[in-house]
Amino acid sequence: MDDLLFGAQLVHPNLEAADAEDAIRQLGQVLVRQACIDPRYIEGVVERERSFPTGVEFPGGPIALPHGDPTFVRRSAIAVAKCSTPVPFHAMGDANATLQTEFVIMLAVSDPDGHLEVLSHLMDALADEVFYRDIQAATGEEAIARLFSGRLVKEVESHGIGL
Amino acid sequence: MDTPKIIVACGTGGVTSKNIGKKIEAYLAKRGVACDVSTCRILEVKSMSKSLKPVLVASASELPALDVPTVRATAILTGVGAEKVFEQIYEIVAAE
Repeated sequence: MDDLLFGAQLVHPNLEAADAEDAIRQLGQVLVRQACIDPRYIEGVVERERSFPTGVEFPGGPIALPHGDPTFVRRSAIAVAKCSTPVPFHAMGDANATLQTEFVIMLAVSDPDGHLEVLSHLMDALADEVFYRDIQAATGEEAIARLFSGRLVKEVESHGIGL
Repeated sequence: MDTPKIIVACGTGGVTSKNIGKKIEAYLAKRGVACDVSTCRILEVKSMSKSLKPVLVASASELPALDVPTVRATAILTGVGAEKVFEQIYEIVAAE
């Protein structure tokens, strides 16, 4: 199982996208450039989003979590986009509901079982209103990346393992 | 008595289903209930439900109509309002 890759190079700080498909394609290119996915992964994610939308209403605001089948994932990673203007995604629990998402987090996971913990930390962070306000306020890929990184390894820090 | 089976379905990839599945397992274990959690894609859930005969099927996404109780588990994914959904699942499993 590979470690989940994340960093400033996987953050798009001001995504301008017309719709969900556009956002997914652009963020997908970021993953392609970092050699995390085969370009075919993007098609799968676009397809999946049409049938099973991934917009989620978190307490701070709506976030989209597009992802697809592990087959075309070369290196597990998380790509984060902050949208300059909200991008409409349909809601996970209700395909008819449209959420104007400010953040799109594209997941490329090769091993859902192995990456369970880090993905849970991600969900916990997104559900935290304080975290949401922080990422709303942050500008530039470095700042946004730092905020996410801090939460993705949270468990290690709370156990006090030699840091 | 057989261990109650639960299916958690998701659109693809197993990301949300496994996340939710593990949390359900942990919650029920805390309440002293053992369960067998399987995950699958929503596209396969009807046939998997027929063969596994679960006590319930959960998903963060919309599920088709099934012969068994379905639970909207989006709250378990986000953690917000999860307690109510966990309770709902417990009620269904405990009733078996």
